[in-house]
Amino acid sequence: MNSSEIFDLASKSRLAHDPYVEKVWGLINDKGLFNKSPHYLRELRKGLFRDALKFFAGHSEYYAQLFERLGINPKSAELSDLAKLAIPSDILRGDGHKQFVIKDADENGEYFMSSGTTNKNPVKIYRSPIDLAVMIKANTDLFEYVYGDYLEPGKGVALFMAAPELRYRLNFVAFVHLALESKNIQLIYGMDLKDESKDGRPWQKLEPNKDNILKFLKSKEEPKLFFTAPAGVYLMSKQFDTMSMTKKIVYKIASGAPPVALGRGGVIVTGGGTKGFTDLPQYGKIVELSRKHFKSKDRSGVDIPVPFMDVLGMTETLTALIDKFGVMDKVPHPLSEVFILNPKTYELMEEEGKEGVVGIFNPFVTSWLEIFYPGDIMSFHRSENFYGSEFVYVRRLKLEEGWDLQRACGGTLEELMGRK
Amino acid sequence: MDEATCLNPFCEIEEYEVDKKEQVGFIINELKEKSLSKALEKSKDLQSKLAKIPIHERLEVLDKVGRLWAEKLDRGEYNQLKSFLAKSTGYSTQLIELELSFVTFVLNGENIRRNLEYSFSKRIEGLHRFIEVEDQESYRFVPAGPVVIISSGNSLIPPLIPTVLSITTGNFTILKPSISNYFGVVEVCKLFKEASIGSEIAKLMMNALTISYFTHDSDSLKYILGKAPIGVINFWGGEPARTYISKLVSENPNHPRLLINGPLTGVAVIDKASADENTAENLALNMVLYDQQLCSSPTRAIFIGSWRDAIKFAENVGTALNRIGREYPSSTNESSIYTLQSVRRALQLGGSTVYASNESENMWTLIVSKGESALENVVKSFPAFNIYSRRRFIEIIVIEDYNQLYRLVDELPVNEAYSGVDKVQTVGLALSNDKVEEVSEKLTSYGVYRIVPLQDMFIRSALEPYDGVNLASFFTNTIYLRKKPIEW
Repeated sequence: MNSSEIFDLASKSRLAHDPYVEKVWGLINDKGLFNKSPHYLRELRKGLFRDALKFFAGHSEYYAQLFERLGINPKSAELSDLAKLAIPSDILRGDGHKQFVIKDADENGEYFMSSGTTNKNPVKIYRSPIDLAVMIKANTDLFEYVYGDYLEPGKGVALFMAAPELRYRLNFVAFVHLALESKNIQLIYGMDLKDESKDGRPWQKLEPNKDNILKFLKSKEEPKLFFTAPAGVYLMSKQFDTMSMTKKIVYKIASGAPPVALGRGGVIVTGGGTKGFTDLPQYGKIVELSRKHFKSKDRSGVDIPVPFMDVLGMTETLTALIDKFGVMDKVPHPLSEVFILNPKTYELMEEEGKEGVVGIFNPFVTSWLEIFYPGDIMSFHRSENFYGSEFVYVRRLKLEEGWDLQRACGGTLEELMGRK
Repeated sequence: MDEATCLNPFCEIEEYEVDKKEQVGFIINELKEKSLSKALEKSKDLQSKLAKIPIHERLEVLDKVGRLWAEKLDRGEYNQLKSFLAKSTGYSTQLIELELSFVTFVLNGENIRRNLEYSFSKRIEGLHRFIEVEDQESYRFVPAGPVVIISSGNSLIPPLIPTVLSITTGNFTILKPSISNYFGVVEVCKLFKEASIGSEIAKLMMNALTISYFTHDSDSLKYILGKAPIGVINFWGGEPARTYISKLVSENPNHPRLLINGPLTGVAVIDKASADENTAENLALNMVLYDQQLCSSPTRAIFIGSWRDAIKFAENVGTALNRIGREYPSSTNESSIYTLQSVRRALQLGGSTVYASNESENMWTLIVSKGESALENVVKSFPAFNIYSRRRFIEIIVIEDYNQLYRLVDELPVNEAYSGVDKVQTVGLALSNDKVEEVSEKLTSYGVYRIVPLQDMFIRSALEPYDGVNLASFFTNTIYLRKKPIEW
């Protein structure tokens, strides 16, 4: 589906005229949200939380019973109740998401899956056309807020170091693709997917499409938006860094790079985590190295260090958290409630700077109650921005598999038993 | 590397040789094949001498060793050992204290005598002489060993029980404990040395015992299991080691007898009439002791009664767990907490009622489910939450009819949430008196080994068999003597 088809289907949805869905859609289209105060937005989210609970209880017996069992009254629910309702993303693996999708959700949507880099069975999430429409709008607005500028329709070019096939599998690719498409900004895919039939992770079956990369490098369009996993920009920069002078000259003649001129408003957007690369340097080091080989200018044409944005977007969240290196840490969409759980009690933790398990509630998702924790450790600090805080990604939770030798009546030969 | 991290053999083999290995921060000096072979050469003679010693004299030695242990324990001589074992086994110091106090009971002569009495049909004199069982027909119970015991669990008592019975029945015994309980086991056995001052019998018994650690890929272990002149091998544990060991033993030209004590678990059965605060305390205690890692620990509870009564009972168990659990603080790491919290939520989402504590040193969980176990489905999403990882965690399945109880006992070993467990070893009953007999009788058809009161599921009576087998009998051969022809 392209973005126009998505908006068209969303407008025809049987849920389109539900008061809650209408309310959410109205808010999603309100760019002024980014100018509101943190207090206003928090109250708004609290109201939306109660409305969401009412909406889901009304559309699903399962949710109605669940709220009753947990002692949560939709009329008086507080944001602290999110801690009770947050589900671990692990139960969304395989067909786990099905049980949470309400029957009234439209059927002609799309499925997205995790890349499978963090566990065996990928998380698989269904997105209805309304969800997809919200995804395009909300993520575009958030992106522009962090980017610090408006992406003018029809202007600029983007290179995504992914294969076009991943548009229908990974939601990060889908959101970039659809957002740019809705803005009529050209998107070039810099990778080809090879031998898809074989088992394996999609990111490990990708090969660079040199012609497409060259097309991007040689393009005179501005701004140039470069979307990649951190490993992509790092490996490219490292390659430039270690090139012999002769090779550099030859490459420069063919492509105009290095350095890669991203032009006015040019930006590098990373996302997707380490994707199996275990020996990547710290993000700051990647930025430092990359800035030697990627160049950018501000709106007025003055040279600036190339801006780096990083997108934290799990498959199970409709909208991402985005940061801008050196400018702001990660911020969510104004309507998303991002909360930190105490890693021991899994209760809400509101102390600034303390590391905990991040949880997300997206009230604008209307096909299931999207409150989950993906198993990542984050912290937050206060901020002057619309959200009142910014979030810092710390690490993924280390999960041990298998068992330790523990049984008292007889374990086994412990070297055979002590698998982790 | 200090002595505390060096696993040296405990044996009386002259000038023994070892292979030095390193594993998980420990130096392992495992006996070489040559030294084991040397010891085994003398084993027949040793066994024959031991088998002639009147059984009550052997029991006196054990009694003495037990007394020495109790005295030293009282004097605080094992305080360092306590801390070490708490660290190596992961159990609380309080639990290790309890464990060390149990050693005296394992070595109690009277307890062992009773076990032997029931193993040999009250004819334990047959352990040192022929005893006439019918007119001119006699039995004599002789050592079937040498016996090899591989008992790798992380607590102290399980390796001691078979070892004590093996030596008492006159067997030359090779024991392979685990790394975590090694020092505790050796400390107990060192007391034979002390007891042997002035006692030839104690010295003989000590000479009959060899303790060494062997890594799973050890040539010495392959030799003992696959080639050595061994009579009995007793393995305590599960897969994958069980298959590995069985294969080796099947190749041994001496055809040793193999007894495997596989992983087992316990089930608590409570009815409405017995679901008082006392029963709730008893269930809580059995959940806390050894963090449910005993083969007798209740890891599933079945409640026969109404949902409302079950909820009330669960609340009482929770109150008891709060109190008893605090007395035995346990630690839980970040990964286990994530899994535990996620499982709790998954069960809640699935319709189970969940009671839980988030106290970091006492994280207990009670799941109340209707009619069926809800745990299996959830464990499919969280495979790391297997029975070995579940601590202070129990699912109370509520049924209204006694007949459903047997199905829940029967299906447990094939339930994915109990993967790795062979059977239900212990059923702990808290039932009204008129039901105990009927339920016990029916349970005999479902493969359980023990049916005991819920309150002390963790305690073994001296006369109990081990997982359906009288170990003392297994460690011996019965020689039959007939002095007259049979009239036919």
